Amino acid sequence: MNNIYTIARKELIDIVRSRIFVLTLGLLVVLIFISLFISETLFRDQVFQYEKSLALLKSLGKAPVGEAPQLYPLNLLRGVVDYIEIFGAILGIFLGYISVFKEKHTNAIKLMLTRPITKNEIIFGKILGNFSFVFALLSLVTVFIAGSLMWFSGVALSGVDVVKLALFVVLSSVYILIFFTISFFFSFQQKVATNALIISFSLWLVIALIFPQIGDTMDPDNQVPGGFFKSMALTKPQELRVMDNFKNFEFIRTGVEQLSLTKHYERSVFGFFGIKKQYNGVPLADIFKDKWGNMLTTFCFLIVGLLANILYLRRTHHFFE
Amino acid sequence: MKALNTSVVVMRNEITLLLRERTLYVLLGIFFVMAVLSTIIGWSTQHTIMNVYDAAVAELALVGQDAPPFPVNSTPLGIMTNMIIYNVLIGSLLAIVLGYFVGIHDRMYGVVKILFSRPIRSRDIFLGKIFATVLILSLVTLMAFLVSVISLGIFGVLGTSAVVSVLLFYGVSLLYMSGFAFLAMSFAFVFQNSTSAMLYALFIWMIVTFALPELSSALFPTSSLNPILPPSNFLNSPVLSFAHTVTYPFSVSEHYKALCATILGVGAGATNTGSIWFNTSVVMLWSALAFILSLRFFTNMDPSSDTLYE
Repeated sequence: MNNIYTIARKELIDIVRSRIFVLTLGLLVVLIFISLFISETLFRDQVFQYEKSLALLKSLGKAPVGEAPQLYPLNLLRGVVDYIEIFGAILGIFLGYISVFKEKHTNAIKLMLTRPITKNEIIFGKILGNFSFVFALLSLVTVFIAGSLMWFSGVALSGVDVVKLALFVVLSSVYILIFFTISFFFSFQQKVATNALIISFSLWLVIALIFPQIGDTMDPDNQVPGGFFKSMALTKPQELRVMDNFKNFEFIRTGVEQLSLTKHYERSVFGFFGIKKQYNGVPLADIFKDKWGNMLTTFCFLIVGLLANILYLRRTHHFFE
Repeated sequence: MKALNTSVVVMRNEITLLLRERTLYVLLGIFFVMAVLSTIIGWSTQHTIMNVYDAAVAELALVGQDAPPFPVNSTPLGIMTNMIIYNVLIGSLLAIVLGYFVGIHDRMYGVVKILFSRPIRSRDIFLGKIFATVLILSLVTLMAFLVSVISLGIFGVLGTSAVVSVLLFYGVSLLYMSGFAFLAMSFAFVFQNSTSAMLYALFIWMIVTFALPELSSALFPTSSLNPILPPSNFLNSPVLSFAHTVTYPFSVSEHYKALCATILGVGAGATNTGSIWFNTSVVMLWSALAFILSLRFFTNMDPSSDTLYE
C-alpha cells in the first residue's frame, strides 16, 4: 500500500510540475469563463427583451402573455458541460499517454523494477495518482465555476445546488478517467508512443463527437431552428402519437446515441443542472431516479476501462518496453 | 530543375513514410466511413421528416386544425450538410495528424543533421514536405468527392450543377484542412517533444472549432456541430454584438461552414454576417498564414539540436 501511495504521489507531482498541466488548466479556465459569460449575457438579454415587450404591451393596454424568464443559475453551465465533454476527454487522453510515455522515455521503470515493487503496485499507483489529480483539478475548477456563477448572476447558490455541483465533480472525474484508461491502455499496448495518442483520439472522435452528432442531426425535431414540432404547433401528446409511427427510425437514432459514453454523461449532468428544462425545480431524488441508468452506464464504462488495463498489464510480458 | 528534383525526392520520401503510418489509416477509415454515411444520414433524415410532416398533418386534421406549410428548408444537396461538419471535425483532425507526421519524421529518425549537411537548399526540403502534405490531402478530398458523387447518384440528385457545387465544396475543404496540416507541421518543426507539438495543434483546433464560434456567435460547443443552428437573436445584445464584431473575422470554422453552405445551397445560417467573398478571403488567409508560419518555423530550425530522443 505504501508503494502505491508513493507512486501516486510521484505521479501527482510530475503532472503539477509539467508545463502541459499549466497550459491545460489555463485553457480550461479561460474556456469556462467565456462560456459562463456568454450564457449569462444571453440570459440578461432575454430578461431585457421580455421587460421591453412587457412595457410595450402595457402601454398598449394589453395583458402580458408568456412567462418571465426565470434564472436557475446551474442552467448557465450548458457550455461548461460541453467543454468537459470535449476538452476534459482530451485531458484524460493526455494524462494516460504521458503517464506511460515518461516511463518509456526515461527508462526509469527498469530502475523501479529492480526495487521490491510489483507490477500491480506500479499500475495501481499510477491510476490512483491520476484519479486524485483529476478529482482535485475538477474540484478546483468547480469552486471557480461556483464563484463565477454567483458573480455573474448575482444569485447565491442553494445547498441543493452545491450538492449538484459535487455530483458534477464526481461524474466529470469518472468521465475524464474513462478516457485516461483508454489512452493508458493503448500507450502500453502500442510500441510507438504517438500511435497510442492517435488511436485514442480516433476513439474520442467517434465516442464524444460523431455518435452524439449523428443522433442530434437525425432528430426530426432538430430539422427546424426552434424545433419542428413547435413550428407545427403540436402538443406533447400529439408529438408522441406522431413519433409512434417512426419507432424503427427512433430506435436506430437513439441506439447510436446510447453507444456514446458522452451522451450518457451529458444526460446525467443536464438532468442535475436542469439544462433539460423539465428537471428545473424537480427534487434531486426524482432526478436520480430518472438518470440512474445513464450514471450507471458511465460508471460501467470506467470499470471496463480499468479491468481492461489491469488484465492486459498482468498478462503482458513486454512491460514498459 | 535540380531544386525541383530535390523537392520531389523529399516528397516521395515523406509519402512513403506516411503510407507506413498505420494509425493514419484509422483516421482515414473514419473519414471515409463518415463520407459515405453523411449522405445516407442526410437522405434518411430528409425522407423521414417528410413522413413525420404527413403524420403531423393527419394528427392535426383529427382535431380539425389546419397544418402550417412544410417548415423544413429542403434542397437537393441538403443531404450533404453533414459532410461540412465532418470536415470540420474529422477532416481537420486528419490534416493535423498528417501535417504532424510530415513535420516530425526527420526529427524522430534523427536525419535533420544529415539532411542539412548535404548540398541541398532547406527551401527545397520544405517544398517537398509541403508537396507531400498537399498531395495526400488532395487525394483524400478527391476520394471523398467521388464517394459523395456516387452517393448523390444513388439518391437521384446528381446533375452537372450538383457535381460542380460538390467539387467546389471539396476544393474549399481542402484549403481549410491544409491550414490545420501546415499548422501542425510548424509545431512539429520546433517543439521540444512530439507530445507538445501534437497538443498545441489540438488546442488551436479546439479554439477554432469550438471557442471562437461560441465567442462570436454565442453557440454552445456541441450546438455548433449541428447543421441546423438553434434560433438566436444574440446580435440584439450590445455586448454579444460587440464580441461578434471583434471575433467573427477570426472565426475560421464559421466562415468555412458558411461558405460551404452557400456553395451547396443549403443556407448559410443566421450567424453568418459576412459576404461569400469575405468568407472565402478568411479561409484563404487562414491557409496562407499557416503556410507562412510553417515556412518560418522550418527556416528557424536548428539542425544541430533538432533530433528528438524519444
